[in-house]
Amino acid sequence: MKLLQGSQRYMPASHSSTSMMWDMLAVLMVTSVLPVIYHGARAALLLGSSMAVCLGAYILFQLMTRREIWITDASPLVTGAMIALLLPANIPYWVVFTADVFAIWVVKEPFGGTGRNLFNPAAAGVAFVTVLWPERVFSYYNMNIGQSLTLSGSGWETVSSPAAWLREGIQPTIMPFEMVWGRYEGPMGATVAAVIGAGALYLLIRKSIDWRIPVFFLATAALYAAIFPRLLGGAVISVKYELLSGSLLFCACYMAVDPCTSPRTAVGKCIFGAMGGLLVMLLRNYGAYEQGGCFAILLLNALSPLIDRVVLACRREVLSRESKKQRAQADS
Amino acid sequence: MDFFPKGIRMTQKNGLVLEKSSSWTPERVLIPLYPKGIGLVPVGTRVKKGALLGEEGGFAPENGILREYRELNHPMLGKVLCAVLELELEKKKKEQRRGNPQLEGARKPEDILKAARHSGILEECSGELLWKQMEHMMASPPELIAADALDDDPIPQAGAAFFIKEKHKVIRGLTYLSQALGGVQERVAWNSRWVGEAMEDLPARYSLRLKNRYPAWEIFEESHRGAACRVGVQALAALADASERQMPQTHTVITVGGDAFAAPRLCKVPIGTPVGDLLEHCGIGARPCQAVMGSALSGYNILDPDTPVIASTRCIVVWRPTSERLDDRVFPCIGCGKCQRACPKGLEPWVVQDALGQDPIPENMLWNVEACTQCGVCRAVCPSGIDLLACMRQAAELRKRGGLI
Repeated sequence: MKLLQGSQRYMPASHSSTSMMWDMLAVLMVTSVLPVIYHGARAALLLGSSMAVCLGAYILFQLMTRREIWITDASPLVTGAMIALLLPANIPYWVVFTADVFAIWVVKEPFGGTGRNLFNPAAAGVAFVTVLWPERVFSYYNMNIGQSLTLSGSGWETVSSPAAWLREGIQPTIMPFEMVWGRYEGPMGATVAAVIGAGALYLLIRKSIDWRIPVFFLATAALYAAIFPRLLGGAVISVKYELLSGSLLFCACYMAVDPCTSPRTAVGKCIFGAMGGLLVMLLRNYGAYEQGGCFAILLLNALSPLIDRVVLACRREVLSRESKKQRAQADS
Repeated sequence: MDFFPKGIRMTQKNGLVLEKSSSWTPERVLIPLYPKGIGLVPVGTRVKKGALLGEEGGFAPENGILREYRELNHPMLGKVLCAVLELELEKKKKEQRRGNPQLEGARKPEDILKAARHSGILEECSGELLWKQMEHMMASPPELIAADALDDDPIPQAGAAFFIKEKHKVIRGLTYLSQALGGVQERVAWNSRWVGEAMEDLPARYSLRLKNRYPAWEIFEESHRGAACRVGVQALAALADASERQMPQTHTVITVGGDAFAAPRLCKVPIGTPVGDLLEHCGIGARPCQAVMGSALSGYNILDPDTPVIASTRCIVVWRPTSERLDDRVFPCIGCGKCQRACPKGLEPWVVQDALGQDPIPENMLWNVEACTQCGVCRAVCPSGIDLLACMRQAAELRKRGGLI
């Protein structure tokens, strides 16, 4: 009889890093169903090609650096899907591809790939193209005058999004039903609030994400919106429009929760979430663009190791004081 | 109500494996000798059942001939000298009771300690000699001592099953231990339905029901801040035998389970039974397999089939290595922080894992690693499949050696 080296894991396979990524991808695919219905084949093509470009960029990078290619790793697909969903449906394809390639080649793989990246690649990709071509990223075609998107083509009539209206202090006129189901101008996948909420709930139940970040993120953003409303209608209206317009919900539920780039400690996650909510609102109010979600996440990603260090240092201090006190009590 | 419980919820076992218990004696045993020193008996001698082979421990489980002394690298004991004994198994005589049982009356603490020492009882939860543990406890008595009849590990059930079978003996052992410590509270720690049923005809004051999470005892102990001590049920039964009949500890009950077998089973075997022989007896077959001794979650790899079963073995988990599955890839730490939230001691396995990858190892990142109880819950929850238990063991070892290289 031969005995071999090795240890066994006693958790079901549904709790692995791989399965967490596939969960995320599944949720993103469900999130993109309504946008595809609203915007037609162009949205589907945008999404599919973005994912394909990310996967291609990943494989090419692995080949160039002679590293192993893991097909079961869904993270390039997740990055691709997120980038497409955070941009308008009428954006030129090449803008999306630029964001994809930047995310994989600059932000993700050079740092060692899945699990080692410092910044959320999708957030970085979107932020990159936002800085380069803001007029393209924030121009949304008018959904209400009956024009439909064709696969190729351009020159659709564009309008401002509710997020841009909020910047001017004007209350957008969207019916509550359309607000919840996302049938208004905005980033293609970030407007479907009901689906995003359900997706986050699914991820929470599957324990793929931690509840602390989205809860603190949204609570802080809501609090800020209630205290400093940009609209005249009062706190409730302000909270409703601030939370449901633009990419805030998408960033809080899908991007900020990325475990690689958020703090590891429980208290750190709470701080991270709260800072995220505050930062998004500050960027919306005082920043240069109508959407600040991706920039807020990138800033926080840079801070998350620091948050962890501070939390750990405080925790150790408290625990060692407690044990000292106990020892003193035991001695007396 | 605990909103953020430590540890992990284990999948419930279908039932008690007590029905499949059996007793088996191999042809040869390798008995570890304590302290890791010299064998008392010359090679070639015929030894009698219960004869002392080492200086302070190592007893012959049956009559036999001492063939040789061999030094082994035991995964749980380290380097240890073993006496290789060929057992004579021709006819099973009716079990002879040594000495007269003395059940009545209180015992002196020194006598109980002496009995534990002379019977070479190894406590199965800590893997230490019981009399050494008793000396520690006598120096600073805990508030309560608990017999560990917990069933929280996914495979081993030896503790719970042994308690159900021998509960009165365990309770007697617990009483002796409590007497030795000057009358501390006695409890039986349990968490599974079957042990609960067995507890029904015992006085309610014994019952200490713990959570149905792994590691149940460590979670309880942390909330009690060291005022509670646990002792394995088999060690307590051995203590009862030692105090009443001066019987040495020669046998142990272990669970043999894992994917390689259709169902787990309980086995009563002599201490020193080679793992390879035991697995063959259980029908393992010739295909190579991986085996772990001690606990399903925190056990030690066994590589040598001659590794002897000891009193703290508790279980042997065997499985067939699957062909390289894609899921088996070990990811880098993705930073979910689950290990820290699950750790019953509130340690930071992910920080330690990060620190061990650096050169030189930053000592301030190995915070409190010496408090690690090696329950292995960090490794079990890690979604990336990182062997955090090995990291914690390595870090604790570094700290023990005092100073980092």
